[in-house]
Amino acid sequence: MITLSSKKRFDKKLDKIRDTKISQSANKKQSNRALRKLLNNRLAVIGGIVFAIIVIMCFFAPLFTSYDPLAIDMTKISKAPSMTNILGTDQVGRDIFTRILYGGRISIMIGFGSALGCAAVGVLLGCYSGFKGGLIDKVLVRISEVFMAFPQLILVLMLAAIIGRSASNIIFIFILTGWGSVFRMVRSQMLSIREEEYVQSLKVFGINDLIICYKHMMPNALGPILVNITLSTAMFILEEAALSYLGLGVAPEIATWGNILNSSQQLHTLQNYWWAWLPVGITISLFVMSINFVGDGLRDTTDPSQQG
Amino acid sequence: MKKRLLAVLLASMLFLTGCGAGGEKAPEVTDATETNVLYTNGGPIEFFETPWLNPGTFFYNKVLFDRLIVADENLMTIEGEGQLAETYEVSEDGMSIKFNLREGITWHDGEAITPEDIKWSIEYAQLVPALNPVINSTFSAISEMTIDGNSLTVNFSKLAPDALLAFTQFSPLPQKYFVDVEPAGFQQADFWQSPVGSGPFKVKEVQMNNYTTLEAFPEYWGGAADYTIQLSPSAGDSDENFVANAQAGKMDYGYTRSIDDIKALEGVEGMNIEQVDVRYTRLFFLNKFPNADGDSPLADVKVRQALLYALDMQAILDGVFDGAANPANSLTPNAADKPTDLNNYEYDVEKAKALLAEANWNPDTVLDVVYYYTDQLTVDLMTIIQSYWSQVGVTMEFRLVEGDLASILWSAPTDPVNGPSAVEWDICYAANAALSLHEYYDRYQTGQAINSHTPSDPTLDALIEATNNTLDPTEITEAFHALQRYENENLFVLPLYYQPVFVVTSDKITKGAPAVGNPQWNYNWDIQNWELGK
Amino acid sequence: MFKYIIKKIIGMIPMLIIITFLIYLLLEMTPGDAVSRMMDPEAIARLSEQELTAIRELYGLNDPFIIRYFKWLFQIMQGNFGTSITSGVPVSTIIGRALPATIELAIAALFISTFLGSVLGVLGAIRKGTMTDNLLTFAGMIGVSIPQFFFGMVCILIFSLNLEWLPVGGRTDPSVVNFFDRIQYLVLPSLVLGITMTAGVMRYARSSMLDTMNKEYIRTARSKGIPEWRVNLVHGFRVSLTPVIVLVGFRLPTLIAGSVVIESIFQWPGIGNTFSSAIRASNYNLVMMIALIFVFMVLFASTFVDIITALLDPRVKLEK
Repeated sequence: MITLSSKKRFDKKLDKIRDTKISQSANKKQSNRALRKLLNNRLAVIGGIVFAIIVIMCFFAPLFTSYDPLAIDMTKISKAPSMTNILGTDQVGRDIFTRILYGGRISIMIGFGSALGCAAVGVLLGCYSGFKGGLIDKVLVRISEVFMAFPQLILVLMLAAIIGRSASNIIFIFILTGWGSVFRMVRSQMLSIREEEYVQSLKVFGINDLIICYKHMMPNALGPILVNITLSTAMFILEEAALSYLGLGVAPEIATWGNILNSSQQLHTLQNYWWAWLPVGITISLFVMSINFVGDGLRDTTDPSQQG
Repeated sequence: MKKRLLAVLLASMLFLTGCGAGGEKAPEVTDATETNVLYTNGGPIEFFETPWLNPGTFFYNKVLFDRLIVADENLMTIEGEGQLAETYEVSEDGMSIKFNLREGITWHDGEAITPEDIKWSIEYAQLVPALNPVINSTFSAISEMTIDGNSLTVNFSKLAPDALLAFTQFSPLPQKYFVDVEPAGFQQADFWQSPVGSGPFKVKEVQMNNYTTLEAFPEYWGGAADYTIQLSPSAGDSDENFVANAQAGKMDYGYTRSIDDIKALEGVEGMNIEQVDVRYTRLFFLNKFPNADGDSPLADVKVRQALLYALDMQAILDGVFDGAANPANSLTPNAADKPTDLNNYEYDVEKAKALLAEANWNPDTVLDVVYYYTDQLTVDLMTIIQSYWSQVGVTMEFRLVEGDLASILWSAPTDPVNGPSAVEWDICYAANAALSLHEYYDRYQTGQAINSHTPSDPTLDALIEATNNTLDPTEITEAFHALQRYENENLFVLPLYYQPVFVVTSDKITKGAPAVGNPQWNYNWDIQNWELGK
Repeated sequence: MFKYIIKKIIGMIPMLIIITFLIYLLLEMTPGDAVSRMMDPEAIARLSEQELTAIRELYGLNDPFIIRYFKWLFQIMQGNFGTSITSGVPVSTIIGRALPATIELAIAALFISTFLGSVLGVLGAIRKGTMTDNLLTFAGMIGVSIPQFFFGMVCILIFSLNLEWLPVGGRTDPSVVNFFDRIQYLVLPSLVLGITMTAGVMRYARSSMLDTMNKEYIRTARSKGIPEWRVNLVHGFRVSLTPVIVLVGFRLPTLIAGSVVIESIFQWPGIGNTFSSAIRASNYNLVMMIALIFVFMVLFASTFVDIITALLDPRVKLEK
């Protein structure tokens, strides 16, 4: 009983120390400095703004358009941009602007969801693996190596054929093939954190491994993960588009950026209906670019080696 | 320093091995003495497809092989004349055909073409599983074949209504290359890496998945062309690079179904586009067998009629195909011998609603529509139909099916009268391409292996049987008319539209371009007599 | 040294076996088998049970999955890669004619991205913080943000169809006599593939150049009065060498994924093209062999990078 309560007490105490530390000068200054640095990075700020605009417009799509993204209108097929349809209509008379907005929801969800999923799986396993070592670590490292050496495209090609092509399945596939790199990153961080004094003392006090691992150590390994999440969101969005091109992405009846852009595969569309592919192409590139700039900015602020 | 040197060495080694593999042997110098080249597509990717499955789909099969006899552009047999057979005679009762082979003709390897080769080809084809249906049904009716000198007589055990048509499409092959080849592994034979044919052109150079060239066969009985043919690789009748190649001047002859391709080519200088109405019908198969949930919602003819009345096919086709396709009222495409009094089921929402009310349509029913095409157009079309049907209170959901399509789509129920259904869908979007009209209807006969959807119907059986029982042209037409009227009334399938094929030729072909016919079948091309300009 | 390398390479073998097993399992789970892909569904539905069994027997599809896998593995060990189910051609022949095309494309793209990336990266580092640097960063970002296939199609539209400078696709034609005639075919696909990989190299080169420029000995060199351009040139060159080596490994997965897309756009008769059609056809032997090559390349590259880093980094001891 006593040991348990004392353990708890120590645990809490450490929390407190950390909290005060955080609220105190050091971190305040640090976070301020980080923020300032991020804001000084003009590209990152612009990226952040563009990113926010696109996300807001997609997720509050009904506020920006009155059309239904699936409603076909046989009376206006492939019409150029006009007052009523600001980005024109597609081959079955759907409003392209509306489709880009609604398609963005799914594309962003796929990109962000997959990145988050990879991070979650990678961090959970990576922390434990790096902290515990031993057989679990060995096995997990092997498994991650298998998935990393596995050409991702093969896995995607075949899994898409096996489990179908809904948006959630695509996310699942991306997570399955993508968690390895996060896992290794976190694991190597944990390996060095493990040797730090506070961890040793926590161990000495016999505090539960899981608590040491996830409560005390994990937060210290998260910095680079944030960067990783942003950058891989961008990567997954591009990948979704590439899969659509190969006819293996989300089923074509669902509007995603990849699927909309895919209509430009037809040379006829490419040459004659610029509004069917240029706006969505620009949107994808802009969005991916904005995420990349934000990610770069974040990296510069969190990675001291990039200073100067 | 040593380490660093080693590193550099290793790196450059990697680089060099790569370079070595990349800079492969230069292709031998072709005698560039200005031989004219005809560019087309359909070149082999991994192998030449046999001419027995899709006899005319690939350009190379049209020109590498001769058939026994020849058809005109409407696929009517040219009487008495032939290709490998100089002449042929059909017996009075139609139960026997005698082919008299040309004297002195050879395969591309110089060996004589013998009646034994032909006989062997027919016998072997009977064992090959992947065979064109018309050829298959004709050959399975053959009872015996006899050779007499340089002629071959084929006798039938039962009437084969499409026998002559089959022989205009069937290419005999040289027996000696297939000595150890299992019929089931026919396509996998070495022969299909560089086939030895009998036609006006022979294989010159094959760079799989890259380019293939064909050159004139100098000993061809009909004369030799003075140009070569270059094929760019593409799979079957869908070539995703069709437009790009055509715009770049690398397509002197080609055909496509894609209206987008055609729209992109309109106005390209030197390209001529011909629309050909062919036997190609897009339709909904309707599953009328009861399933686990009880009776099929489509078992009632009123529902089927209502579904067709609810579609404004003309408007849909104008939108999706720029009006290039025609609304269908029967499986049989529009042609001279089709009855003119068929109901067109013109768009009529009120009528559709009334019919559904009469049939006590349950508004909670969700029709499960499946399709197996992966193109954007299909999805668009399904979306459009969904919205039209929703206007009369019919809900449908559509999904792509993949994998073992044979059992997903065509598993026939054990009991062909009462079911229950052996497949899970209500409606299947599909296409019927037919060489002969019989192909459209024979599949609905009771007991057909692929009839997964239509319960046994004695009236229908009798009507189909009547079309197969005679060789007299008037009787055939009458039998088909009766069948088409019954189909039109009963709607055991929903015919949607007839899709044409577009034949694209360049101005380079200056003389002898063939009369425009269905490019997927063989007819009298006389390609050896075409002339090319610059 | 040799021990280290050999140990690394032997360590790859169990991995290869596990991965091939997984791929085989995945193929097995893919709906439909080779026969159902190869023949028209209606034709299959017309066949009798025995006929179908006979066909499947011919392709060795009737055995249980595990037995087929081990049969395959056993054959591979003996150097027999099997034949393609669709054409009956030996898998080695098919790969043999597709691989050179892909390697050619990959090397060209690697060369382009390495050259552009390191030159621009070093330039960015020298001009750090200036307009040039920002522009370069920005351009690099555009390069990685455009979907590859989209970039490719626009290039075809502009350079092949509108300007008619380059062929729309393919790798060679009968009039081609030597490698130099063929370069026109290589330009577009390798540029598109190369440019999308340039940004990564550029970023790497820029930061490692910055690192070097801050190093003690550079300052010494400068203080000795060696001209600035010489300092930059010599060290710039040294810096650009590292990305060549290291990033060959890192870029390999990109190259593989890229080859599938790029080869399909430009009708390039390479391994990526062959691979995607083999998967669609459930062409087991071919899929397995190409996958094996891909996996081997990735593993080899990462091992190679390990070795190189070990060689270049004095802190890492080889005799581990």
